[in-house]
Amino acid sequence: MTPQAPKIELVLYISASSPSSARAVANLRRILRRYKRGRVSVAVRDLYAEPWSGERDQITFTPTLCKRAPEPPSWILGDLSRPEPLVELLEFYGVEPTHGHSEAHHRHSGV
Amino acid sequence: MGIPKLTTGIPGFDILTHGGIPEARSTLVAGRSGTGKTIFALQLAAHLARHDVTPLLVGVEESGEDLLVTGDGLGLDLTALRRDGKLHIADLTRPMEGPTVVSGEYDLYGLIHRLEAAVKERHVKAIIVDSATALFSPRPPADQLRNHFFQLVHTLRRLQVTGVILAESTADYGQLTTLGVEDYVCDLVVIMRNTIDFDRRRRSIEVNKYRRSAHFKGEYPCTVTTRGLVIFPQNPKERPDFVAIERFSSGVSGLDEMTSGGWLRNSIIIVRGPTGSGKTMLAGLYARAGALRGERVVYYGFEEPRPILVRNFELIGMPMTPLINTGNLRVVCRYPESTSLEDLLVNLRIGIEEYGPSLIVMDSISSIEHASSEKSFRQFIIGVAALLREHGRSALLTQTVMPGEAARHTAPYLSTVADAILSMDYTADGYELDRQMRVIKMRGSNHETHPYRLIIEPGGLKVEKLTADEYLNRKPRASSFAT
Repeated sequence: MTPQAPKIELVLYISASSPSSARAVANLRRILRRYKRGRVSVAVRDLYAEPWSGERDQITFTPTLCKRAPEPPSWILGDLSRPEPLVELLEFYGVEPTHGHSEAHHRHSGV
Repeated sequence: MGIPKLTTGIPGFDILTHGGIPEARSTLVAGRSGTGKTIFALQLAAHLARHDVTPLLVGVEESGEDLLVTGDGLGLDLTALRRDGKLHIADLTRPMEGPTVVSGEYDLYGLIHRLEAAVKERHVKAIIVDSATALFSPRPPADQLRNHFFQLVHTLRRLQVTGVILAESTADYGQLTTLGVEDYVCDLVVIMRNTIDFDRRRRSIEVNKYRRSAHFKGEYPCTVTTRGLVIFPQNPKERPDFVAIERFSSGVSGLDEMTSGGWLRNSIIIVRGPTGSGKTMLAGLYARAGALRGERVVYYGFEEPRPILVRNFELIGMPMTPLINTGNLRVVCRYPESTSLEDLLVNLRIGIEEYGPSLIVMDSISSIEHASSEKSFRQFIIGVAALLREHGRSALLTQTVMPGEAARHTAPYLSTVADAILSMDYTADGYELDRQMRVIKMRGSNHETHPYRLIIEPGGLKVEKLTADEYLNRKPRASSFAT
């Protein structure tokens, strides 16, 4: 990781009452496990518990993964059962895959 | 009786819908872009906010800020209402440069939780979504879209809030909305249109369906003014139940005799005649007589510019300027080609409300008829009649027809709005024009039915009884003036 490489800020908006949200959390964890997490920050917001927290990112649907940074923001709608949009986003910003690293190492990085 | 409703404050809309939108149910407002849906939404939001039905305005097509600016521009003062906590805004616009991609299934809970919180914590009682089309973008597959929309409407009902959902149509007629699912679950469906009809813009609004409620059917003209949307329903209920039999002088010697006592108050008179038959002169006399009695009169001239009209009246010995100076007469000249009929109606309404005339002259409605389609003209005439009846005003309208046609029957909508129809006609067979005038109909009046001789002379016109003998052996009289 170069010092100039930008931080990638992701927020996953979910609803505790929605099955697709539960799938999105699992899918996000699975995809991120394959990448070095140093530059990637992830937060999860439950709109059932915090209904106003989606206001900042103009959230209508759940689950929605919002990439806040780098600017401009972009949105990935849906449960990430199709991993390509997120994978393309991470690779576009040059996030390195975790070749040779044990999966256990990342199990605690927490999503 | 009937279902509970909320008034909208949009002029005319509460008449069309017999009282407004259904309370705690959902209303769909569909129309192509540019038909005035957002203006409808903003006027409604302001009205609800002022009547303690706190609205949440969900902006998807335009940002909350933009909506406030548009509303303030219409004099709705949305910014102040929001500052006072009487109106809330939810901004769901997404910037164009930030794309949204779809990675799998999703649902509407994000919005639903927010709506629930708005109702619970901010006491929101009405939710206005501008628009469903933009909200469901990217557009999911049809079955999913239907589920999402049903979920939205179901949520509004569960929360016991009044919902108003705007949706885009691709065409003025045909499939109601782009999404094609919204109307099934909404109790009230309103269609707004903005069509080009005979080279002229024609805005209209239609109540397409209203569950468990009576409503006006068909398209009604509407217009967007600087103060927002104005609709022109023709409301038979607004006709006064009892019309006092009061007569006033026509200002024409002989005509009062012919009509058995002069014009009736609260009546619409149509004067039909070919060009040069003296219609403008009769209209001028009607206006002058009113203004001289101290009434307020507005004269709409559609055939010539104001200075020329005023000069012509001067030349025939009927000066208007002194009456204009006293404030009893207003002369307004317009080219019907350059204004839309809806704007003309608005102008008429504003004129009636601000100036308060008791008599109105329109010379001639034919100039308007020739500059519009039959449908627009019919709507215009019915709109004018509704406006006059609503305010209990009297009017004289002139109509130009071919020589010899003045006494023939006219379009049904014209004859039904008219309380009195007069013909002014001539035959040009002799050395001089042989002019005649007749009352074709006059409601509630024991008027003469035989023809009168019409004489046009400096200072006005005269009508004289024609005996049957004279009528059969007519010798045309000298005529020294023609209009």
